[in-house]
Amino acid sequence: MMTLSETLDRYKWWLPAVPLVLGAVYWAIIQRMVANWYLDDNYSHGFLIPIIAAWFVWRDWDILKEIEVKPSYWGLPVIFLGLAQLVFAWLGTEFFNMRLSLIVVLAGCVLYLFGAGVFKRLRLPLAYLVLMVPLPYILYDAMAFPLKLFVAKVSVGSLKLMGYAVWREGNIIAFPNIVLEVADACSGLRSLVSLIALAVTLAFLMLKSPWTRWLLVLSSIPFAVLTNILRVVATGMLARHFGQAAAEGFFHEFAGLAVFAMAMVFLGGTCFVLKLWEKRREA
Amino acid sequence: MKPRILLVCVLVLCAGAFIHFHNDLAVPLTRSLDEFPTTVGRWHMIHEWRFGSAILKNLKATGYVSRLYRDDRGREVELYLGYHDGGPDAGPIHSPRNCLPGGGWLQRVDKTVPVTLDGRKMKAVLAAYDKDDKTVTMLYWFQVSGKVVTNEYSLKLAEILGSMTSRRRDSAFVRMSTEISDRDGMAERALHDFAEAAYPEVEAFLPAPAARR
Repeated sequence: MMTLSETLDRYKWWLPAVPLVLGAVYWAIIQRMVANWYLDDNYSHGFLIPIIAAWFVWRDWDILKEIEVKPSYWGLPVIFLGLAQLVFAWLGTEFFNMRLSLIVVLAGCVLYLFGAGVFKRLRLPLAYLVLMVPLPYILYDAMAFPLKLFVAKVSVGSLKLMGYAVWREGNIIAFPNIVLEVADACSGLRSLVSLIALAVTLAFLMLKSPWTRWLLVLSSIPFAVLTNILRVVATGMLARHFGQAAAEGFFHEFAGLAVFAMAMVFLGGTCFVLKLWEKRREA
Repeated sequence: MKPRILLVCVLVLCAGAFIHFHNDLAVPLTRSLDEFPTTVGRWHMIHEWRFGSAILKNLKATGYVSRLYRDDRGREVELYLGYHDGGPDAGPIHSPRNCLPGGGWLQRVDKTVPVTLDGRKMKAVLAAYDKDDKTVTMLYWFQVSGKVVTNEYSLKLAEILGSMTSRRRDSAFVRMSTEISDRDGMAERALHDFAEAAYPEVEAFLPAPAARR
């Protein structure tokens, strides 16, 4: 029986064929996904995901390399499944599944070549890669729209409580002097996808129990929504007093960053509290 | 280990070769959509829109009709017919379900209704969207190599099946819309009337299905 590092060493001229072939077949698909990360503000974090996944592997390397390699035939059906997913998605020009299939095939390869022991250790980085695949817009919009309405509703409610004359129609907020639209960016979903990626990273770095990890990841949803409500309310107040310019341009961009930073601070705080709670339970 | 590595490479390469060499046929329209009649039944064209290059680049349609028709009772219905030939450069259909909410339109109604057009029983989507003080009621469906579908998932599935069995995934998007008030079913009736008049023409322009229905 051989360990992972011995296997890698012994077949160092053979194993690279797998990533090479995968790279060649998936080249156009990967290229397009990277272009997506670059062009779509919702997925700028895509660049970080493979790096963090690689870092997860590196962090566990000392344990990983000593794991016994026991190739498993269960990997074959997984590879088949992934390739079928690729072919069908290709026929339907469906990018989400084309991209996702790469991760399924990779998982299948790990299982087939190195076995369940190694796969178990590589589960996290492999699953983590899913976050780099942009959601299909049909799903994205189905989630973004209700959120947008919710943000508009709560924001208008808060503005009314503060004594502003304001009314709402759908995602349009109307002041006596100005009309604002709660756009995609303000729905909270734009930052939500990035925030979830961040929460998953934090959860696996800092926390140990599945409960606290889930709690942290799920908490990113209310944080994203809450901070965006604050953003809409602040924009509304400024727009009421200083006109349209306050709601657009530099301030709008700045508010976007500030809101994301605030959500990150909330997330960090929650993580800290959960960590303390874990420690107390251990003690 | 070596045979395993070899097998993985062969499998992946096979899938790669398939997607590399499988390309769908670009199915041309029977006639250019520019020739779409300006009079259908009692409806006469009163306006025609030509899209700018920015929109066309996004739309990636092989051909389109975007016109406003008015009938002798003064009812106005807009027709959009977009055809995507399914070739390697063809883009996908943009569904109102994705595009309109993205543009700030609020969906108020969205249901599937039966329609009988030109003696053919089929299903269509009846939807109403609001923006500002405007309400648009629309009747639309998708056609994949002759087959009528009403949701995006069946559309994808039909494209996949068509691509597999006949290398065809040409698709058309047919949408009638009106700003007539949707109370008392007035908008719906106008849309149905127009659809009945226009459907035989639409069929005459779209390519025939792979297997005649």
